[in-house]
Amino acid sequence: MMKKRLGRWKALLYKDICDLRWNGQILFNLIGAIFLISILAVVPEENLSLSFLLGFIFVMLTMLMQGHLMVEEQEQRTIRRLKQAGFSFKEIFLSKMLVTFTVTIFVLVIFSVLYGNHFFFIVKLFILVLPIVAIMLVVGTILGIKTKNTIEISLYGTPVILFYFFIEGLLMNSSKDSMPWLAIFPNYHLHYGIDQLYLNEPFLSYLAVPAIWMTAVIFLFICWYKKQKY
Amino acid sequence: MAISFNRLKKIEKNTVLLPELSLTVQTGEIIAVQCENEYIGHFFELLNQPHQIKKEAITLPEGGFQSVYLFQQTDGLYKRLTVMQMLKFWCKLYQKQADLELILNLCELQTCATKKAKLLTRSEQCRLLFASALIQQAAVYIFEDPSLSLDLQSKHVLHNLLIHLADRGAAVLLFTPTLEEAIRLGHSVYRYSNRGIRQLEQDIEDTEDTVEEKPGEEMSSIQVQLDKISAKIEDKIILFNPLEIDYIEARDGQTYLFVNDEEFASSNTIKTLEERLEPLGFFRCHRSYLVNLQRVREIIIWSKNSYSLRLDNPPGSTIPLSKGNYSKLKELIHL
Repeated sequence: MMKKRLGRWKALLYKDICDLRWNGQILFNLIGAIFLISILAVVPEENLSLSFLLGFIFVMLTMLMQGHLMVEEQEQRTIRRLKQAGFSFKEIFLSKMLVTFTVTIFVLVIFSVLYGNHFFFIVKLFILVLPIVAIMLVVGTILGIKTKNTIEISLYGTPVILFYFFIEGLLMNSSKDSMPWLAIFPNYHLHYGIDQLYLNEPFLSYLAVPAIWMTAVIFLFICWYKKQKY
Repeated sequence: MAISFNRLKKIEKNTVLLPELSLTVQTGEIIAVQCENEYIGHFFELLNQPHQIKKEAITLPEGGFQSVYLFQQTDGLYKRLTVMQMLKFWCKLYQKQADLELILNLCELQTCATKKAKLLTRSEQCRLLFASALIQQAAVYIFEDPSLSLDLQSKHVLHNLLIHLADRGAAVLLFTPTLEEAIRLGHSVYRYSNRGIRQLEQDIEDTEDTVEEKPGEEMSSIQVQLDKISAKIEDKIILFNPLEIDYIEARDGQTYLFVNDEEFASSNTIKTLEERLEPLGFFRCHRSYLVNLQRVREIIIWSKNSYSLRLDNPPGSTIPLSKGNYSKLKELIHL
């Protein structure tokens, strides 16, 4: 039974990987993200924070990619066959999350190589960004479930993107003490957590708020998901 | 028995969405059901939500719904995957080892094996979906109007596929709104309407028996000896020149005249019309069909037991030609 289930998961991953290679929208975001972080690594911009670059990866790549992968099963009318083959809706979105997470990690590795200075920096960075990546995966999944096509993903994803960058903008243009209320947002902790990593100072305290956000978002998502009919 | 429906129905508020369906499909059997599109839609909707079906209303093969292959018009393909990648994906999904070359050959997809699904024509896409039937290796195959918008090549593929599946011991059930397709594709043909499901051959025999019981009525129509064939629309009676008629179909105890893609109900039985029109070049090609031979453009041979006639009327209608009548037709046209 387990072997059969694993085989079906492999099938879905095989299909998504074959499909991703020609998915223009996702490729555009992926190449765009790699290009941006590479250019800014070579030509450093003093006013641009690393958390802004990471935010670009999370919203433009992680969230939109997850949304696209989810909605395309509906848009291409292929989900019926997956369900009949024995996949639950939960398994479908978890497999998509796995693909999106892998691609995000791949871009983060490039990011760490370009901006990091030692191996432990990479490990610590991954731990620091994990809650925000999880939040974006959940937001992308909700977008994918609630929308009908990829255009709607971009449309309804835009307010999330704008809000994220609005907070980033405030963080970039203020000192740590000038707007203390920003500390309720996970971006704040990512922003100053990265500073801690560069200074080789303890950073775990900066994980608390993002972790709370992540837990709350996942909990709300589960509650909402259970009320849906699939 | 591979699958059985026992008084399966769906009623919503005061509307009967799906009339009572009682049907058993045996292994190796191909059953074609002719019914309205609306019923087909509701039937497949129900199959996609098995929890809504009462347990006693359906007997499934071992393995439940996962052993049932469903072909639906709304099924799609992953547009960026090539034909070969799609086949490999299905092999992995259903955990089946399949000879992909053989499948490509059976579905006549060899030339587009490396083509992306989005670049395939509608007929090629359907053939690719048919290929999944060969990979899934289910016990029961249920098709929703499989020949809709198919080209001739794909219709041949579908015909061979159904025979292949039945030979392999699977039970095949297909739903189509056109009687011609039902007769062409099925070993047994049923008509499913708001009155329930009835086997077609019996249906026609019953109609003819009823006709024989009323000789008085028949006599009166023969005595008139009209050159024109009448059809009634509301309060009007239209008279057609017999040679205007493309073909005549008997359905639900009623006879319909097909003239230039329009359908007119006639009060005459098909048997009466056959007697009157035979001297004018009409031919009884099937129990339910009488065709104007002047309109026949093509005789399509699907297999040694299955034939169709293609007409040169504007919609290019195809009507069934039964095996026995094929020999008669050959003699008639000195083939």
